[in-house]
Amino acid sequence: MGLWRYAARRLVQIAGLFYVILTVLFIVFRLAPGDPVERMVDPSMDPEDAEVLMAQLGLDRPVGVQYLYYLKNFVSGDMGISFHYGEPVAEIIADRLPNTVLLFTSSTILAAVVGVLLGKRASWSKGRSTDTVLTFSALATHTVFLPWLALLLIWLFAYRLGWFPITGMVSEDVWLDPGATWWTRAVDVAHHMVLPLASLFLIQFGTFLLVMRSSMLETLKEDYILTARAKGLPERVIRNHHAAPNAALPVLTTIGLSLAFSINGGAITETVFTWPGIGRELVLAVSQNDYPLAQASFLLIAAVVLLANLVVDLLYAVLDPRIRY
Amino acid sequence: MAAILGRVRFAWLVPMVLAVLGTAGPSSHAADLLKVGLPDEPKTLNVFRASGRWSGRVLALMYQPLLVRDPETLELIPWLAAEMPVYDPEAVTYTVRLREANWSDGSPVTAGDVAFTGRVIREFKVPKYYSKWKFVTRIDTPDDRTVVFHLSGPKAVFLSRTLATPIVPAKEWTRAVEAARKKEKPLRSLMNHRPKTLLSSGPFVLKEWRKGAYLYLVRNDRFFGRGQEIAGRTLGPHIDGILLKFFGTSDAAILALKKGTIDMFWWGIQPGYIEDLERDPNIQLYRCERSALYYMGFNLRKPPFDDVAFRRAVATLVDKQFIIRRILQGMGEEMDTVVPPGNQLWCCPDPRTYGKGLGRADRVRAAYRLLKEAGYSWDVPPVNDRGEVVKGRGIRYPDGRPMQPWTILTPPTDYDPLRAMSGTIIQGWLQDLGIPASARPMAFSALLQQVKTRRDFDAFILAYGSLSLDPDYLRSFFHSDNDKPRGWNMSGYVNPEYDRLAEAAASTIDTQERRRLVWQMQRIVAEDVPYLPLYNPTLVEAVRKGRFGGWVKTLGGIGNLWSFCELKPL
Amino acid sequence: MPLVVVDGLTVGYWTAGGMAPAVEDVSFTLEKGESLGLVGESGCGKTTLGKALLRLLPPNGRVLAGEIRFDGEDLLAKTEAEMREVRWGKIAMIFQAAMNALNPVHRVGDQIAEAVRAHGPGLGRDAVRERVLELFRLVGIPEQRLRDYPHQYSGGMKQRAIIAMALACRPKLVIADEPTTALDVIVQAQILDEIQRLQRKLGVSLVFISHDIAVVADVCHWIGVMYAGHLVEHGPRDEVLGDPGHPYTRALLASYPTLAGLRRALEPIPGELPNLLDMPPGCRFSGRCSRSRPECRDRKPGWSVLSPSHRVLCPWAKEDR
Repeated sequence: MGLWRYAARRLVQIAGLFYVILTVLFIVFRLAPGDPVERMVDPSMDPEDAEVLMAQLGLDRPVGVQYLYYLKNFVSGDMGISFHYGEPVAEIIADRLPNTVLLFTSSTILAAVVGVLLGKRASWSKGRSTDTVLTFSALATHTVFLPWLALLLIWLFAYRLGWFPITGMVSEDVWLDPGATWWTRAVDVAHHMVLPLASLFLIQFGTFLLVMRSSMLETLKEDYILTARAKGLPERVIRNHHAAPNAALPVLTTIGLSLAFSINGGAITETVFTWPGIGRELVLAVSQNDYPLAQASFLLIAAVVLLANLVVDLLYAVLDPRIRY
Repeated sequence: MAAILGRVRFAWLVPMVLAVLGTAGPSSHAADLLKVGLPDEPKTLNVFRASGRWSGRVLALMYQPLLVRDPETLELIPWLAAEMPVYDPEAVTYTVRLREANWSDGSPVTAGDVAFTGRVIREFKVPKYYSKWKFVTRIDTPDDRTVVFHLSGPKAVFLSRTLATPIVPAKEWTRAVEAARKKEKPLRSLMNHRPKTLLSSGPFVLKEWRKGAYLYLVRNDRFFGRGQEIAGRTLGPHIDGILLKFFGTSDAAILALKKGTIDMFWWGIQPGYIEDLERDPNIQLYRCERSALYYMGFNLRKPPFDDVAFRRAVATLVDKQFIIRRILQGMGEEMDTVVPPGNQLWCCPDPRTYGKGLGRADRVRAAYRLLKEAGYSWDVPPVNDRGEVVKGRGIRYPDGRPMQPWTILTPPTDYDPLRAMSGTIIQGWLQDLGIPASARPMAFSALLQQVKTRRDFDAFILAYGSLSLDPDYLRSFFHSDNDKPRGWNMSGYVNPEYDRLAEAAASTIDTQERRRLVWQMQRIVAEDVPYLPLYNPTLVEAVRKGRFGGWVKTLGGIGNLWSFCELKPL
Repeated sequence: MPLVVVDGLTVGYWTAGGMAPAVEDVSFTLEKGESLGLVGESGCGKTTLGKALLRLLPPNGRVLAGEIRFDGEDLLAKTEAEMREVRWGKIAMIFQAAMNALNPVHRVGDQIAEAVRAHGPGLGRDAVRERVLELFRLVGIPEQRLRDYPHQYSGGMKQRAIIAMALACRPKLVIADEPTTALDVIVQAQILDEIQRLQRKLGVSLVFISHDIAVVADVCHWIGVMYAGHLVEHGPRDEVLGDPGHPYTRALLASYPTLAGLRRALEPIPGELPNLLDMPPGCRFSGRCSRSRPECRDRKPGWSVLSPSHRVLCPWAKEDR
């Protein structure tokens, strides 16, 4: 019961925080230099036409009025109409979000699982070469310049070896073929996802590995590990059953935080791999001053990060019997 | 236990990867499907909203205008029109006969479609087209194949711009237009309309648009040009369709081209890639001139740029050849006038030039002479008593005040490294003369706002990537009426004589006479240097060899309507 | 044959400063069903000795010399796998409850069941459960607390659970390392009674490690006093308490408030334990000893035998009595 009350209280906090983010986003985009209309005009158009465009985008109204409309629309679930697509932002996001979710959840889960397993491995062989190699590669992939890494993956695995498609999410050959089954199509998407997934995975797993490793090393000093040894349990059981579940708890927090930090990497990955997701849309929207789309994408990301952290906190309570709210 | 779990979690990957690798054979090219890489996805296929380059390129394969340009002569030729429009100077009307043409559903393209297009643009003041139609007072359709346009006065841009407007199928848009009329904001409603289907009068018709992945166009068998000879060319299309794929980065697109995933990358190749692509036996590079203007602009509203002598001195210092050689790696052409040299119809052959062919020291001497004659002085002159060039310091206005530092705004390196570098080089040349100039890269949107809307700047380097072939932009850029926020006269150039010439040119129908006026305008601009034209980069495009032949080179590249009509599978 | 024979055991730790001897040349024996209390200040090596018996030294710890025989078998000669059989199956250890001796994310019942299962591979689910319940009853924990997590237990209950866990496989020897530290006095007394009761009832041997000589005195037949890695006095409880031979033992007894038959003013032992890396070559207590003679510092002390079962690592023990 306490858990539910805690969740409710956190949700209220999140709503408050969300309102602040909503407002800050509005202000940031209005204050940021740049003019959404300038990108849409050419010298054959008169300045009056640009004014008409401004009015068409609702930018002719005073900023205060724009803000009120913005809040009103948000409350009624209307995220506005993208300046450049001319489509409701909600639809654009609904169209792109599943792609991002697919890529991100896969890579995060994979990175967490592999990171935790390798982190466990590294801690167990602390000071030996396995540990050195793992820790070094975690640090290396963690600090690598992502656009370069992504391009390297494309060059090697798609261009030189030809194992995977160069970019995109689907191949037209499969999707234009009316005889293609859903399975062939699913395989096609999976095939396209390997490299972007690998690139996101590479930048994510290092964090998990390092967190797990240090957490594990801390845990191994605990007395219940000595107890487990004294009980004559095999090393494997001690590591996996007694040390790992305790050591994995801080890793959960990392998942929540890593989501926030991998947004940047996600946008780069989606751009380089032309993965039609929210991150790529966000980059384009910001560079083209498409306020409604950029605002909505940021809000969505903020919501996901806030909720992910809430879920992590709640999961913590489920996984760690000591924590009760 | 977690280890077992871990193993189980990986277990699903194994068959998946195997399955995936199993299907990863070489992609089977549909034999006659042209695969084209685009650097970005079209944002919309609503012709009344489309402002982006990619929307325009896709729509141009479907919605056709009355007139187009011959790819070689660049002259206007009839397209949906059966022959060149007939001008009646008395009534100020143009009469256009339509060619026999059909929409992709088999219904004819009629005078009603043409009138509908013009009326919608006028009624809703559609921003992209309104300036080209506002002088059209009435559109009559005496019969299904004849359109009469009544103009408020003679307009030079009527043929080149108004009749270049894509004609929209009335029946597809009527309902959306009627619905929009009833709305509080009719234009907003019209622009936000999303056409479900797209009828085409052009060589291709939209088959499928998979958002974020590709856009698939198939051959329109009802295209009026099919098998016809137009401009001395027998048109197709001979290919089954065009598949447009989107690429987030040029690097990926070029790899896709080298790999054979796409047959063409519809975007200019940066100088850095050219050497590698030239060595690739599967890649053919095409070099075309562009209708582009890369230039440095000055804010004539404030010193030191309010002094023409100063602007000329800057023009003298700037060695365009050096910039082309060093920064563009030779991939460009020097510009002496604002009209691109490739636009042979309108480019003035004899504008005033500054320091052409001079070496660095001579340029410094010439600029020094210009400024000295205008009354400028230095704490340390850039040319000493013995006539040697030294580093100048502390330039002063004729009234003795020292010149305050000023900045050259350029786009940031990630947007256009070439312009950013040009800014840095020019800064160095100016500083050598003791002029306190510094280049400052600025985010592109911010730069535009600073220069065009706020008009708070000293100098800038900007560009037009594809100027229209009609030189009416000369009026936009330098007519004093456009010296206002959002106006195109960003320099704040005011010259009554120029205004008069510009207005005359805008209403001159006779091409020879208009050309004389347009040349004169260019001479004045070259004389007064509100803009300093820099270079016109060569457009290098890459296609795969051995797949399709018949690319048509024209101003602005091989990715044009003519190519897509004439390409044949090899 | 004695159950445990420790002979000349020397254990060291690798540290940044070199090999630090934590236990040096310790010998004792323990018969079946008897109990030995090891006392000394923290850092004297008593816990290291306890861990060495189970070969549970941390990675930098090594047995450098000596012999440990258990039930006639040489423990130091066993492989790790064989050793796992010994652990808990024959020798169990009771850890201090205040430390995280119980894994916080597993239910108490499961942790005990794990020990039962580890050494009784053929046991079915019900048999394991039955055994765990039996153990709970044995140590007096209500069986509905079986499914609770350690944090839901009180300190005393945790200690009982740990005792139950130690007894899970019917070991022959139990090593109890400070089992009552950090418990309040009443609970401490209960736990001590419990340990004594169970030890007698089940007839297991016990090595009881504590810094508190009073506690040890309550529980054990034998007392071993350790100082700076040396076993300095070893003998039957009554002899050691009634007639302590080593100055350190005397000082230790003097520093405790209540002990059967002893009521004196508290006398803290002056000085500190010597640094393990920098031991005096002679008697290690010489620096703090009130009876120290000049040669004590430089000459290795010899044993004085006070009775056949009572020996003291001080050559002057008889003279100074």
